[in-house]
Amino acid sequence: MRIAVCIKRVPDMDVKFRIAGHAKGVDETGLKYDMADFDGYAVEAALQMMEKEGAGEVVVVSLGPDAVQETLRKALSMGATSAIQLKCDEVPFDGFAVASALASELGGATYDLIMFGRMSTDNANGVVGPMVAELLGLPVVTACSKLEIVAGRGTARRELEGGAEFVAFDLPAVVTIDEGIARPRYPSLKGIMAAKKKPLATKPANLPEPRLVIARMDLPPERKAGRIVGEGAAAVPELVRLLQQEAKVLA
Amino acid sequence: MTNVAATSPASEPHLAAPDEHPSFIKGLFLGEIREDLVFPFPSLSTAESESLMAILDSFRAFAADHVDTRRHDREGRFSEEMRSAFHSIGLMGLNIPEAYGGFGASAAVFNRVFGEIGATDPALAVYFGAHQSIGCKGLVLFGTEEQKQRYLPRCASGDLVAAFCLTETGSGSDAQAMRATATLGEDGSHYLLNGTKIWISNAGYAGLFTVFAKVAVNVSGTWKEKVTAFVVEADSPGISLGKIEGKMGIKASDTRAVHFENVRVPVENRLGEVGLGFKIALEILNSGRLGLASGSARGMRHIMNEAIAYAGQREQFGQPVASFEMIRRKIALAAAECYAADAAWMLTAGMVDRGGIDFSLETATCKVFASEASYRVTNDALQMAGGLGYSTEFPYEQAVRDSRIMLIFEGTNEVLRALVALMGLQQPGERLKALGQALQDPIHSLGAIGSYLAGRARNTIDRPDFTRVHEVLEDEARLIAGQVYALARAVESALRKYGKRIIHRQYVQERLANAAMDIFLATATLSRATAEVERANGDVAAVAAELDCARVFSHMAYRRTRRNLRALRTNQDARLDAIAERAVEAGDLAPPAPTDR
Repeated sequence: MRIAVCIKRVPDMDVKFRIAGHAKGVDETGLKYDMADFDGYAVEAALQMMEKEGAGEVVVVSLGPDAVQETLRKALSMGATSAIQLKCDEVPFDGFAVASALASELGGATYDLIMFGRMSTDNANGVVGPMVAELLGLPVVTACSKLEIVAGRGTARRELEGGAEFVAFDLPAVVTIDEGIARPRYPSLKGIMAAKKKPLATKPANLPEPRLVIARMDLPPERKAGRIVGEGAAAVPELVRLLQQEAKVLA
Repeated sequence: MTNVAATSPASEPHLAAPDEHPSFIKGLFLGEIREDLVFPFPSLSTAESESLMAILDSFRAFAADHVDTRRHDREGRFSEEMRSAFHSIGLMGLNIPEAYGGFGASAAVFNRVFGEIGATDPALAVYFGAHQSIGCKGLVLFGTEEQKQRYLPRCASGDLVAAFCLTETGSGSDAQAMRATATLGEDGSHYLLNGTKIWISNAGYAGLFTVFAKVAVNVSGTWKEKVTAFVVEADSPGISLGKIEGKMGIKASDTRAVHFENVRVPVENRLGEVGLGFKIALEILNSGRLGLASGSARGMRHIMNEAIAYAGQREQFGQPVASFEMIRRKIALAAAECYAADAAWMLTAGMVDRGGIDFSLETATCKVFASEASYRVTNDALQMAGGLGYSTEFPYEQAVRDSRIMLIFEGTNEVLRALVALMGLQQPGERLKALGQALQDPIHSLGAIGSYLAGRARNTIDRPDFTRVHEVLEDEARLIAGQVYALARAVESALRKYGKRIIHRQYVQERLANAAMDIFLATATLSRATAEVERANGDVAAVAAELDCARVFSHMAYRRTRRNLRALRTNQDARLDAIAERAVEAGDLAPPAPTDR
C-alpha cells in the first residue's frame, strides 16, 4: 500500500503568543516548531499500517519554506520512506490554496490512501484534507480514531457524542486522523541517522492566488482583577448578594 | 570549528597524547596564551545541530512519559519498563561509533545530551554515563576490532549495560595502590581475576565490566606488578555483587561492590597491552569527566529556573522575592557561573572533537568548576525557596543531594586540583632543571642558558596577550592576560622555592591550580562571548546578556586569581598546619570552649 501523509510545521502551542507588529500573524521570535499534533498521529497510524502489512511505503509531504525539511526529516526518522517538500515562501492561510498545491502533487502519483491530521494545531481550519479529496474526486472520512484497511477496503471509526460510528469506504481515499488512533513514537537515534539517507525531494508548490487572507489578529482581552469582598463568614452574605445580582451566576 | 562527527563519525579515538600535543592550561603555567586552542569558539554544523535537536526532542518526549525522578529517588531503582524504553531510543549507543551500532556522536553532541539527561534525572545520567562515558569507553578507545564487534553493538542497544571497575577499598584516587590481581593461567589462555571493586555504578544492571587489575610481569629478572585492563562478562562464574549501597542521592543508580573470585577471563578479553591499564583508566576518565561538567551545568540551570519562577511569584513585604537584591545577586552569580561552566565544557568538547590536543587538565577543570558551582547554585536555589526548599514535596532537597556526588566521583576535586597543578608544573620544572644542570657546566651548556634567558627576557618584555578577543571585551582580556603572566612568575618562584618538594605542598598546588583553572574558565567565557558578538555582527545590544555574564565571570575570576597568587607569598599556612595537626592529634576540632571546662 502506498500512503501519503500531509504534515504541517506549526509553532509549539505551549507558549504565550505575541502578535506581530503588522497584526496579521504571531510574532515568531523565540518560537519552537514541530509537526502539528494530529499530523503526528496520522504519521504514526500510517507507519503502523505499513509495518503490519510488512510492505508498502509512507511518503510524507509538507508545503512551506525550507524549514519544513526539518519536520519532514522528523517523520523520516520516525520511519517514513521518503519525503516531498512543496516549496513556497510562506504557507498561505487559505486552505483551498494549500489543498490545490497538494492535490496537484498527489493527483499525479498513485496513492492508495492520503492521510491528514484532523486539523492543524495553529490555524485549526480542518479544511485541507476534505478539499484535497474533493479536488481529486476521492471519498473522505474525517476525524478517524481507528482505521483498518483490508483488501482495498477501509473501515474507520469516528467518535460521536456518546457513541461511535463505523464508516466503510473503498480505496483510494482521503482520511483525516483524530488523536487516540496511535500515540506517535519518538524517533530513535537509529531513525534519526537513517533519516539523513532517505530521499527528500523539493519541488515548487503549485499555489493558486489565495482568496483568503488574515485581516487582523487579536489576543483575548485581559481578564480584570478579581475583587476581595471581605474575610471570613461575615463576608458571605455580601458575596452571595454580588453573585446573584452583579455576576448573575446564582439564582 | 565546525565538525561533522555525527554525520561521519571519526574512526580515530578522540585522544591526545599529553606529551606530544599542546594543552592550553599547560601553556598557562609557562606564561603562554595558546589562542589557537581556544579560538574560535566551537560551533555545530547545521546538520549536527539538527540531529542534536532531534535527539533532545526524543529524549524529552520519552522523559515526559517514563521518567519520574522523584519516584526513582524514593524507590532507589529504575523500573525495567523505563530502562527498556530508554534503551529503545538508542541513547545507550550515543557515543559508540556508527560501525558498531551506535550513533557516533561528537563530544559536543554527547555532552549536551548528557546535560539534558542530568537535568531531568541525575540518577539516569549516572546510569547513562557509567555505561558510555566510562563503562564501555575503554572498548571504544582501546578495543581490538574483534572485541568491538563482539561487545559494542550490544552495548549500543542497551542489551549489555557496562560498568567501570577501578576503585578499591584501599585505592580510590590513588590507583597505584590497587590490590586486584590477574594471573595468567598455566595454558596461557586466560587470566584468573581476583579482588574486590567498590562503589561501582551500574553494578546491578551491568552485563559487562571494564576491570583494572595488576598483572605480574618479569622485567629483567624482577617481578613487577603492572596495572592492566580487562573486559569481563558479568555472568562469568566467580563474580558476585555486594548489597546495594544506601546513598545520599542518585539513588536509582545501582551502586555496589563487585567481588571477583578466580574469575576466568580469556586472554582475548584483555584491553590493551599488559601494564597499560593505568594509562587506559586515565584516558577514559579524562574524557568521561566532561559529562559530569555538562550535567552539572544543565542541572544547576534547571533547579535555579524552578527557584526563579518561585521567587518571581512569591511576595513578601508587598513585592516579589525576586526583586530583593540578596536574591538577585544569587540569580546573577548563578547565571554567570552557568555561563562559564557551559563555555568551558563546550570549548573543551571542541578540543576533544578536533583531536591532537591534550585536554586532560581542561576536562578536570570543567568537572571541578561545574560540580562546585552546581552544588553552590543548587543550594542557593533551595535557599530561595525558603521553607519549601527543605520540603520533600519540592525538588530542591533532592537536587542538593543528587548534585553532591559530582564533587567526589571520577576523581575527587582535591585530587583533580593536584593533577592540574602537578601536570602544569612539569614543563616549567623541566625547564628549570635543565637550567640548573646547565649552570653546573656553563661552557657546554651555553645553548640551554641562552634559550632560558631568552625566554625570561621575552617574558619580561612581552607579556602574553589576547589578540582574538573582541574589542568590547578588551578590559577583561587585559586583566586575564595579566594574570597569565602573574601565574607563570608564581610558578617559577614556587619551583625555585620548593623544587621537587612541591609534590607535598598542597597549599601551593591548590592556589596554582585554582589560578590556572580560573584563567581557563574566564578565557572560555571571553571566547564564547566573542563568537556571539561576531555572530551578531557587532551588535552589542543584541548580545548584552552574553557580555554581562562573560564580564561578571571574568572579573570574579580575575579577583580570585590575584588573591590566590598573592596568598602564595602572604598567607597563614604555617598556622593552618599547626591547627590541623592539633585537631587531628586531639581528635577534636577546636580548643575546648569555655563552657567545656
